[in-house]
Amino acid sequence: MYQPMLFLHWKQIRAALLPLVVAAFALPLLSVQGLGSLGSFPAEPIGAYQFMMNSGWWAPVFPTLAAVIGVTLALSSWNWDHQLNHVYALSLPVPRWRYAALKMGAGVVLAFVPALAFWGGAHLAAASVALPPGLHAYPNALAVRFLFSVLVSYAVLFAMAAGTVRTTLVLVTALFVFMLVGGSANEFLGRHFEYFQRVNVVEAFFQTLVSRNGPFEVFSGSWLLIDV
Amino acid sequence: MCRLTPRCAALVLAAVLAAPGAAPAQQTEQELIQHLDTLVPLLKDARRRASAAQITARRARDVHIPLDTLSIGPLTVLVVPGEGAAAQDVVGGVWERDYAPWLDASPNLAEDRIFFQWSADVVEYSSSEFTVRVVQGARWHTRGYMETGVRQVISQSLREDLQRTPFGGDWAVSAVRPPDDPALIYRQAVLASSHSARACLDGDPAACLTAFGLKPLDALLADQYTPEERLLLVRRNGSLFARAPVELRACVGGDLAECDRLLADMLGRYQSAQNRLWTVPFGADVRASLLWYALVRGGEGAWGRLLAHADETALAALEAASGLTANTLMREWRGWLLESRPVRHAGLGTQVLKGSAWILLLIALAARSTRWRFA
Repeated sequence: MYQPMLFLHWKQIRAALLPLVVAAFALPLLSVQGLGSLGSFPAEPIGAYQFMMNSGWWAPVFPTLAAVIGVTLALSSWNWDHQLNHVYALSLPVPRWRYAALKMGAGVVLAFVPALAFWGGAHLAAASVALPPGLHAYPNALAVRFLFSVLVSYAVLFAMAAGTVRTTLVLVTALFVFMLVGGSANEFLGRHFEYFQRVNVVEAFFQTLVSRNGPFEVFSGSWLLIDV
Repeated sequence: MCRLTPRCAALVLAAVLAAPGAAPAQQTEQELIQHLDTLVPLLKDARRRASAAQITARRARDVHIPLDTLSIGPLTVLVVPGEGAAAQDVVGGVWERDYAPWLDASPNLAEDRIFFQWSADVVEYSSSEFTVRVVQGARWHTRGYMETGVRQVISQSLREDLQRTPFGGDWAVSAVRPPDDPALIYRQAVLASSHSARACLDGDPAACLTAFGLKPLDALLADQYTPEERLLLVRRNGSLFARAPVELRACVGGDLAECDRLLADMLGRYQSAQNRLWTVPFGADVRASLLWYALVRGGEGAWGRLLAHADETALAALEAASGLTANTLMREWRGWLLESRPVRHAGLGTQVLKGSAWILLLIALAARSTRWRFA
């Protein structure tokens, strides 16, 4: 039962996943471009400062790519079911929970493909540059963070998309509306309720998501391939 | 264009007096001096009136609101009635924890006032009688935010203590407060593009003195940077050499001798060390961490000792404040710095575990879809 699910998901996503796999492999390599190489002296002296500047510039790109991969995996996993009104799934002799778990498992396995590409790219990038004293490369830690960021964003969207397309749209729209008008609403409520004077709800909400114990905590750590 | 300002008027007057053909008859030097002497009282009077007008204008801007006054150590804290307890708690906490152990007396801190407000409706307050340092935050701001504000205003007053001393001028620091993020200081120290900084981190106290710019100025640049590092220094501060574009281009193109000429020319123009601070490998934040370490290590009376020796060299002042020799201070500070190194893997394991728990929870939610319960 699991193999057909995996194959089905792969068929659904391969066209979209391949460029993402290439990007996952290439981005770490791009992030060290122009920082000299082991075999040759760089055209100009490269200090630790430049390494960190470069590393810092690329740092936000990695979690963004992880989130994009996770979302793509999640939406593609339910896409077929939504298109056919879940007839195929309903015809299967499996309970709902098992079907969802199998689907999720297929997506998790597919998530390893870009994560492995990223890990390989990060190792190759780290090996291709001569690091200045005091700096170290962290390809393994970064790859683990990348994998779990893909999985978390995949799981969130997977759970949303498990309902209906409408449910997903409503939730995402509600989130955007909350982001846009939440601050003003908080200010207005603050005039009437003391609680809203003490708590900025929008800030607290997003803080909770990325801070300790939040679902997106793994996104909030260091994304530097090269660090002190 | 020259507008009608007092400076402009003085320039015109000077030009008229100095112009050889302007006077109808040749004036003797004595007559000119007498004429200038008559102008001096007028100038003094004009200055006095301008100063009085400034004070009146400042007083007109004063905000008069009912305030309570708290005394916390040498700090005078002004609060809106009803906020005394919060101010006592936050300001008192910062004072006891961060400053009381080594801060004995500070002329500026004793004169300045801290206006502390942590409430929903913040009001503006200013006074022409004393310097008001404002610490304000909305009620939803965290205690940590308010504490940072308190440290900042205390630091401002302490920096003013140093401002007119050679220590404050020649070896300026960014702040006199505990580093907000010691890992950031470590990062900055590691990223200093100087072999002396690296030797310092490797454990050479003499190199630390060089990297901190605490050695005599002669030939310091050559000790601090290799020729290649000097090229980087010029490139990173290219805007300072805008007046010599051809030489700058040659330097950036790899002509190391040209870089040295540029730097020598630039630094030769300045006598004071203050204008050379941008060349010191360890920047203002790293220097601030050393000053902080010296004060904390020095304990009781450290600030007083620092001020008492602030007219000497920066190194002498630091030694006096910390009560340590230069080498011991450098060694201990380095130990503190190495302890501040950020641990890259810290927390990743627990983050992964917690992430896995969230993933399982989300799978459980996905498995209980409404659509399927109706099916």
